[in-house]
Amino acid sequence: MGHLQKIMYVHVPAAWAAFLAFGIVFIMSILYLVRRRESHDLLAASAAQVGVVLTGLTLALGSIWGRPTWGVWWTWDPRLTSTAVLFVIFVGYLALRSFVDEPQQRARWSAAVGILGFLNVPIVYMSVRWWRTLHQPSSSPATVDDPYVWGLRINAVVFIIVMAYLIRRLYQASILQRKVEALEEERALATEGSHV
Amino acid sequence: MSDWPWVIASYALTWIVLGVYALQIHRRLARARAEYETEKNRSTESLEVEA
Repeated sequence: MGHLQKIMYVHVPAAWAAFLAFGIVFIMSILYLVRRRESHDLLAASAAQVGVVLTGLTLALGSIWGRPTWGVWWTWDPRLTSTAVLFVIFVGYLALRSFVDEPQQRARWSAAVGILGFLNVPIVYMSVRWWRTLHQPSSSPATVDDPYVWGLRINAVVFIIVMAYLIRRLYQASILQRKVEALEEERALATEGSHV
Repeated sequence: MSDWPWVIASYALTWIVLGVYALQIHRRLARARAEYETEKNRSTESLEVEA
């Protein structure tokens, strides 16, 4: 693979961080359906957005790696296709949130899509084992030399920290936006009341 | 052809995507904070007028 293997140090951690972000969507969606707390819905939405960006990055980096290695930018390989499906599902999740205005209905529908969408993550992960195709099987410490394993681990930790930071900031922004909406509603009600 | 252009393109893309996205989130949070402060002040003012 030569120098091209260096792409793996960003491609693989980006994919892992994206899976983790979708894992947060899954857990928060279940918690929302059980407890009906808006904070769970907002956290799920923040994680979904970061997950979409990381999945898009994973696909783009895989494409850059595939062109010199396989001779094509894209092929309908099971790993690539299932990752693209995951990307489209969560883009749909975000689109759904922008279409539905009623907060509780939006949160309920989003939670359902978030849970169903996450079910694709194990399919993406296992696709290289279930179907032997162009994409190489997952690397593990048993198949990769020590210096490379540590490179991957360190980058994975960095990507996960970046992911957590981005989700936290987005979540804070969402909470503030909801507070602004609540204050606006409160003020509108107070104004109406004073006119009556 | 050398592999380096592909490697450089990958790392550049990673930095650009994550950097631009982080900046966008930072601006969104700053805007949300400013809106919240404005709205909070407005609500306090309207309560004072009512009182």
